[in-house]
Amino acid sequence: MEEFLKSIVVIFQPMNILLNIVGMFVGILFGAIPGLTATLAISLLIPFTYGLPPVPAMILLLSIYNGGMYGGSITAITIRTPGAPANAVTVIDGYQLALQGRAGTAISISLIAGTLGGLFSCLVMILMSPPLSRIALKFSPVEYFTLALFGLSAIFSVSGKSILKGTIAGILGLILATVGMDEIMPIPRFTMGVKDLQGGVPFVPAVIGLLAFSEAFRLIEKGEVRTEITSKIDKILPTWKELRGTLKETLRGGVIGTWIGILPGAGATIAAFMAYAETKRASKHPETFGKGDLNGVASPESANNANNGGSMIPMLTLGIPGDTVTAVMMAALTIQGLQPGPFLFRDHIDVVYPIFSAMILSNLIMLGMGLALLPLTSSLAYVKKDVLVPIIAVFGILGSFTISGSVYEVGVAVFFGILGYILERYDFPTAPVCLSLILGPIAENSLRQSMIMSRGDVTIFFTRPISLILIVLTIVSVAYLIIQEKRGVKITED
Amino acid sequence: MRKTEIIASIIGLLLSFATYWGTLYFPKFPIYLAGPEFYPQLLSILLGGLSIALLIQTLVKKKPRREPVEDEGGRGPMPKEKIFWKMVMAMAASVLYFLGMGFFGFLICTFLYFGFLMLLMQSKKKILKTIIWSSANTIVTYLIFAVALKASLPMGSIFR
Repeated sequence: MEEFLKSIVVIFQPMNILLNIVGMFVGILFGAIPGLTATLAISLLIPFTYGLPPVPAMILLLSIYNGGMYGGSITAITIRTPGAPANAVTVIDGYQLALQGRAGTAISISLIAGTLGGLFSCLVMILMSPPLSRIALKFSPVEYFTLALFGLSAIFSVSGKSILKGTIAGILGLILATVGMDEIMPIPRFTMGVKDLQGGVPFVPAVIGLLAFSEAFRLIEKGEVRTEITSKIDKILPTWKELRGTLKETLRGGVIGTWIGILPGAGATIAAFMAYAETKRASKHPETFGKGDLNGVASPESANNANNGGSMIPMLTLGIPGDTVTAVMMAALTIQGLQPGPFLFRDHIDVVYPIFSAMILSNLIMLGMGLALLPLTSSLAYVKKDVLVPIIAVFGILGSFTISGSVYEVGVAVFFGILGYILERYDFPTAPVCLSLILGPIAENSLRQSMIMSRGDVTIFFTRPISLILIVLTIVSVAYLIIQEKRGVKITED
Repeated sequence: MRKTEIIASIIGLLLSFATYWGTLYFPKFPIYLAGPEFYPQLLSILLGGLSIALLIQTLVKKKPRREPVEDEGGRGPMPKEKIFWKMVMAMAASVLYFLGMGFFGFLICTFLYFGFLMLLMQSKKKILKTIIWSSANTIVTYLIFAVALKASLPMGSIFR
């Protein structure tokens, strides 16, 4: 409790509040422009965090994360174009509300539900993380390997159209992660005599390339696309009756979103879809869904924002990111010299609690800024891409350059940008490559350490209870996703 | 699409062989399956297997053709050849940008790169707008990276 109170003092420092506001603005901006996502914003802004201490750096990234999720709902409601896949389900009722002239109400409900869902997930994060990290302190390499394997099962859910192609992309990422000096036996692997490669594939430029550059190339391929204006935003605030009518479903969405966020791989898109389905199933009037029901906006938007807090739990406590955004955040913490996982709670509690408090503050700032900026953000969908794309490309290159002031990192970013574009062009998703690049070294080192511990006996993974549970969970989650694909359910995640 | 998936499978197989072949040159350590070659070999076998699976899946099941890319504000599909060259130019410009920065400097390269990408994006070329945006962006990025972030951006050996 004392640490939590101290953290409140930290996050209310003027610089931290300013960073929260800047991050929120950037997040909403990127979320509200179709084609751009919070993941893209975070990968582009990571270089800006190098010169910041750990807490302000995380405040900036967390507020982008939250703002991006809300921003994506604006275009989902106004122009039927979700800013991110997690906002796709909001289109169903949100756009119908916009056609009825209630776009402002729908957006503000989305904002309030998102804030409440986010706050709920923060509460769960604060309560769950410390005990979970204490358990994780007892983990041996055996548990870490199965945990990494469970984390890698996320590849199946971020595979887009084809699980097979997503898995191939994931394996490609794992192979790329082996480039560099071996961490157990000091010999260079696949470096081809290039000295720079001995340090391995630098994660941040690779992510900038895979997420930002490839997106810029994709937008160049699409060229200029004009957006038709379908609705105007007049009335912004909902009535008390409208708000009260959505509170129950907001809570439902918050619970589902937080739970789904904790599971590696499920992600905000699945959370939003599940919340929508559950809300419709539980409703006394399911026939109103799809025709402009406010609960059809509140529940998924609460879920996708609650997913943010949920997904931070495995990343902070176990050092296992569940999706691309948390993988990038983990890299940001690593750059700051902090290793996410149980030791973060033991050795850097002064960083952990401000992160919790910053998440809460970020949600509250989102509510205020979201309402204040609504007239501006709703017109962001019409921003010309011919200006935006070069900005993304130039920021990507210069961001990579600032890492160490050498063109090597820039070359890595451009290489991964071209690779990412080609992969996406042929339906091989880039998100599994990102996840594999960060989880690959954890998986390899813990696997090899386990093999040394057991003198080459692979049954060690099945004889330890936690390890066995994690293996079963991995099999169940992979089987579930494969069955879903066979049934034709498309699961996509940015 | 079918053709590209067959090519992708073959590339996957080649990469798998190359990875496995590369590990054969690693020094050997007798430490219970935990040598530096163990994990990459495991991954190369997995990649090879999955590439074969993709090849079989493609040959067995014929997939529907990809939708043509909409361009020029939805006025019609853009010819594939035009898209190809547009993308080659965008990628080449990106490579030239970072390679040329050391010689020509950040200011000239950023101005040219930004303007070139803007022109690539535009269906109707707007030269004045492009020059204004390129200049403004170059100044703003200089202020952000060189002044605010104190990054030592290359000013170009040509000016020394």
